[in-house]
Amino acid sequence: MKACIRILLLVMVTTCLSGCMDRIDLEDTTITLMAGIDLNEKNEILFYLSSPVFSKEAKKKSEEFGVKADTFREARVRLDEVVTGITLPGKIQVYILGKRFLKHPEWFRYLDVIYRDARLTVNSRMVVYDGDVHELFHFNPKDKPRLALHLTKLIDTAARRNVTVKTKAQDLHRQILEKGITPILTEIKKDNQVVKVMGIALLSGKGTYVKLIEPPESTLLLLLLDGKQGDVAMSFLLPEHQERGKIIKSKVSIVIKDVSNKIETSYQDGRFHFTVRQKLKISITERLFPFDMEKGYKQMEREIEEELRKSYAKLIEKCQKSATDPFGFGMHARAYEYEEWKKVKDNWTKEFTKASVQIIPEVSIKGNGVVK
Amino acid sequence: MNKSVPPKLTVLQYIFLIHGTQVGIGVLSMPRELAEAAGTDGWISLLIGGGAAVIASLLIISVMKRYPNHTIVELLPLFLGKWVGRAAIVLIILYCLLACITVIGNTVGILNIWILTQTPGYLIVFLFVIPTYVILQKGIHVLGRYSELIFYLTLWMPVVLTITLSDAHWLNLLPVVKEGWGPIISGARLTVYSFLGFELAFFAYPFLHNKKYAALGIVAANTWSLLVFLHVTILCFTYFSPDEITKYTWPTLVLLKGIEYRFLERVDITFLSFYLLVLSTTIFPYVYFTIFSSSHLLKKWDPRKQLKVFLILLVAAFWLYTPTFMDLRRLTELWSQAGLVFGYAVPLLISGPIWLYHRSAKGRKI
Amino acid sequence: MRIRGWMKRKKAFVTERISPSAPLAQNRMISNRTSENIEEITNIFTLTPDLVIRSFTSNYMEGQVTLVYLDGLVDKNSINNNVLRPLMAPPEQGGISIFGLLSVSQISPVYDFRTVEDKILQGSSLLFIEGQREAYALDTNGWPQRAIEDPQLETSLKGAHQGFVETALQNIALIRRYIPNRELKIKEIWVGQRGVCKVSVMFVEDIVDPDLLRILEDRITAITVDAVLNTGELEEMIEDNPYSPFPQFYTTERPDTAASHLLQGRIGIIVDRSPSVLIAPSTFVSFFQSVDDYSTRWLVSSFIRLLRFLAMVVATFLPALYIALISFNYELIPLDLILTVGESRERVPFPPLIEAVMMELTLEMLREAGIRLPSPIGQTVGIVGGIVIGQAVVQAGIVSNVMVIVVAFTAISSFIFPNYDMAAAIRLVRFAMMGLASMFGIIGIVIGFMILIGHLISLESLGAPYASPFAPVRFQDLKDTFLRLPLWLMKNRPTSVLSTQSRRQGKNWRKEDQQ
Repeated sequence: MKACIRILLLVMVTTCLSGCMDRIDLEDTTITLMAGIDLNEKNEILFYLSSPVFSKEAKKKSEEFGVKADTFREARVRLDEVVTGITLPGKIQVYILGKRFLKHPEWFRYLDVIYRDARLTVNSRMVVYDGDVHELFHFNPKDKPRLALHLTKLIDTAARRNVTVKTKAQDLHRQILEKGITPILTEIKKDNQVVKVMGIALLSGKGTYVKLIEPPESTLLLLLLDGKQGDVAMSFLLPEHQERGKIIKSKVSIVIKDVSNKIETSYQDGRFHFTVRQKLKISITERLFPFDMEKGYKQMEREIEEELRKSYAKLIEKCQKSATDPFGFGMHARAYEYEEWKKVKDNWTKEFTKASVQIIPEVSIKGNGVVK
Repeated sequence: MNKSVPPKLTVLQYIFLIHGTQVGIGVLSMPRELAEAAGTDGWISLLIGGGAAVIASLLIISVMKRYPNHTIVELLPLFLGKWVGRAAIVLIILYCLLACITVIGNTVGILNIWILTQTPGYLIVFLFVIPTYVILQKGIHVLGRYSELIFYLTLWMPVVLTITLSDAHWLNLLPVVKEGWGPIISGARLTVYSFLGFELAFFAYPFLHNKKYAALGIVAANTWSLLVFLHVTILCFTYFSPDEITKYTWPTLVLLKGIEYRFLERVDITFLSFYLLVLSTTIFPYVYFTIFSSSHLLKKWDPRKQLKVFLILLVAAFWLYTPTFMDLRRLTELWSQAGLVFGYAVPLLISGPIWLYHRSAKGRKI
Repeated sequence: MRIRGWMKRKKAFVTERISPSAPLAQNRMISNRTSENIEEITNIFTLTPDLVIRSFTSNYMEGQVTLVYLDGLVDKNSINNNVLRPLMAPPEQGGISIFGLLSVSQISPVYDFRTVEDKILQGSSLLFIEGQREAYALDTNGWPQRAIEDPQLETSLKGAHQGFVETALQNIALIRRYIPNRELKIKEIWVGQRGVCKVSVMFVEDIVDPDLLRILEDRITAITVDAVLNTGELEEMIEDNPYSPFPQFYTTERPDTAASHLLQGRIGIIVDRSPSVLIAPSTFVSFFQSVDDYSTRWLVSSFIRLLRFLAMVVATFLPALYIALISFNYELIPLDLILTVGESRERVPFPPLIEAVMMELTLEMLREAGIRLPSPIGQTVGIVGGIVIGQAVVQAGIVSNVMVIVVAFTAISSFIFPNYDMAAAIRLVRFAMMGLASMFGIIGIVIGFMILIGHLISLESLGAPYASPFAPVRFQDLKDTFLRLPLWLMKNRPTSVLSTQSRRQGKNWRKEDQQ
């Protein structure tokens, strides 16, 4: 009997005490799937949110709003005045960062809430948008699902094909704070009613936008950065095999089966030296010129290596010129030449422009396809 | 708390009781603290801290071996006389109390930030008090069973953490001993409170069924905890940049935030919710031994009633005042200091005299 | 105040029962005059129209012989052929005692009316002979009985198809068929003040733990009630923790299950007039085992075991998880799913808790309705309820279709358990979990899980830990828990039973031995 009364009391206390403070039913919410930040000509920060609409009565599948605000949180409060439900940021898949906004030196501080508020996800994709973010948010292609979902899929597949990088909010945080690497982001653009992945946006050590690396260079960058992830396909023009007077180009296409990078780091003559030995196992998928592979596969390997080396050299030069180190050579400098690194760690990007970087690809052809 | 049948712990229960007490809130914040003190060499500090904990716990066992049927609270009045002994018991109660309040406070703090942002702290404490009562009222054997069961039920958690290895940057760990040994030693001091829990051998030893394995068991518990800490620390050090890791209060949870499955997003929330089970194996022993000690002071009072009053007071305390994050930090620091005294200094100080005493006693016999 | 009064009344009732009842105080001995005896009997059994008193003269005795019995409780054939005919037949030889004359299996002399009363009520017929100070109780019992049938609740595919019936003697015989061994012992305890009932405690003497046996006997003998009508009542009076939703003794209606438990060192309790046997001590895990597990191949039955444990988790937590995810931790749901769920929730007017409780209650009602109705109608109710209501409720927009899936999945899971009591317990726990989830989300579920575990590991069945082999962990017994390993690996009896002889298998034939 006593136990009964006790249990009753317990239940009563529990029900009285709990006001279900954290409860927000799904149907009362507006789940934000895409957020955008941009800077307009008057240097005002603009925030955009896009949420799916579930109601069958609504004609449009998603609702988009933009507000002028000083912080992200403020923008959410302002948006709650407009949208149906309570805006919830826990499911944001994509952050669209305007190119203009990224040129603003302190832009990263605006993202503080993403990292401070535990309810926000850090798996959102960070994307640079070349253009006015406003126009992207009000872009409703008829043949595509909700834009946020479309963009998510678009970026994921492009990253799988190694056309661009998939930088999550968490990765961006690491890249910004890590002194030995400069951040890279996905860059997209709206082109003739189509949203297109442009390539990889290089950011400076401070985080400001520097330049765009377009495929196929972006693929090379990713090969150097991560090794092989996803599918990598490349085509090369081998000039030695160009037949004079023909339109057809002497091109060969390969898929990369495996890549391993071995980076040697040293410090000599007042600058860092990085030698990257990149072993590539490839398979030829397409060849537009006659060639005796059985006899000449070594020669073919040499030629592809040479082409790769040239492209890499161009890429490295581009990066060094713009004072960015997206490859993370700084981390190698820290690991192997710590004493020297300590002196330059706050100015690593400047130091990197002086460094000598050598990429030595070592190609081995593992497959030649079905025909000879 | 039933004293009529002497409840016994099996060796595994004893190991997991101590191991469960050691692995608690420390795991969530330790990588950052180590990185602050010793950079990416923090894992070496951990090895040193673990070694110190093993030595201290062996000292405790060597003391308790002399009195296999008495817990520390029964011994103290014997050694120090009735009144000084009682004062010492009060100190022990305060220590256990400090430990449970620190752990509960931190748990509530983390939950309030991470999952239940609107729910007031005392409600979470109230919720937590129910299982505490259900388990502790039956005594130490149920507590031992619980710790053991929870250990097996949470074995998947380190495996989930391991998934982040695919994003590991092993370069972060190099070079080893980059700034010399100074920071590493100062980092080792920080690990003190993470390893705290072995001092419960002062209480748990007499309950152990097979006393032959007491020393081995406590070394096993410490080693296993060390492995867990090392696992978490190294994963965090390789996943986060050394410049970045110090920015996170609980790097371990942030580590999990990055994991995403097709069927489950936000692994961190799931992990943290189930981490409550792990935290409970830290809180329950401290609550139990608080009551255990206090029931030695207030012998006339039914321990079960004491437990009930204690738990109600706990909820009331949190209702009156929810600690701020700075309070929690201070509490943790205080517990760490107290643990240094109770877990390391006390065994060191008393093992000498006791050894001498027994040597002379033996000599007299011959 | 009323509660107080009620409790007092209850106490008064108990004390009244313990004091010796009136007839016992004046227990008269049988006299040598039959007419007096008959008068006494008619005094005892007033308003008993089914009492038959047949007086006649026998060729063997001087004077009147009187046979008394309760019509319906005796076997008429036996009385006619084995009692009346020999007594009335013309004498062949003189001087034969009553024991030689009647072809009834048991004849026992009775001297007092207290015993006479008991014997008549138990179904014996009483024979009074003029001039003798003793009567004879003749074993002519034959009450209405059911034939042995397939068990209703615990059906099995490959196991035996005999279930227990309502007669203790038959049930004992059924078990003895499996264990024809002299070590199989039975202790009889009579329980109940009015409806006296024979409780047989059955065990294999050389493997049972004598302490357990003593505890059990003490508990049964301590019972003082009017009557124990069935096994469930007895169980409730001897279990360790009456506030727990979980069954602490295993009730079975299968002799093979009972025999297998007895052979593991457990104790069987057979209550006369009940078609089920109580097994003590029981563990949580034993409710997830079924006889079929041992007659199918071990890989298959291991898979089914895993399925049952999965079903337990689903049946306990799934609706709670649904509530927690929809109202609190929506972040956990993968993106594609949250869009689907969001679309289906959009029209639903109720919060998830109400929605879930409503559907779960509907389900429970359907289940109860199905049990009470005759089986052809029961099935129809199930189909009508399940399909039609489910379909209509979604179309009307009262409940989201995800909820219907959740409820259906939960229902299927809760039907998998081989034991009805455990399934019922889990149903109750489910509602508690739903409540916790609706207040604290996933944290509530984890806390609920903690309470559940804490409760299970502190439960005891006859003093033996209920949650064994999980807590305390017994690695030996884990062979027959989540998996059912091959029988030749289980050489020892489960340690959680505390049996005195641990080994149960010798060396069996193995393929490797052939060379």
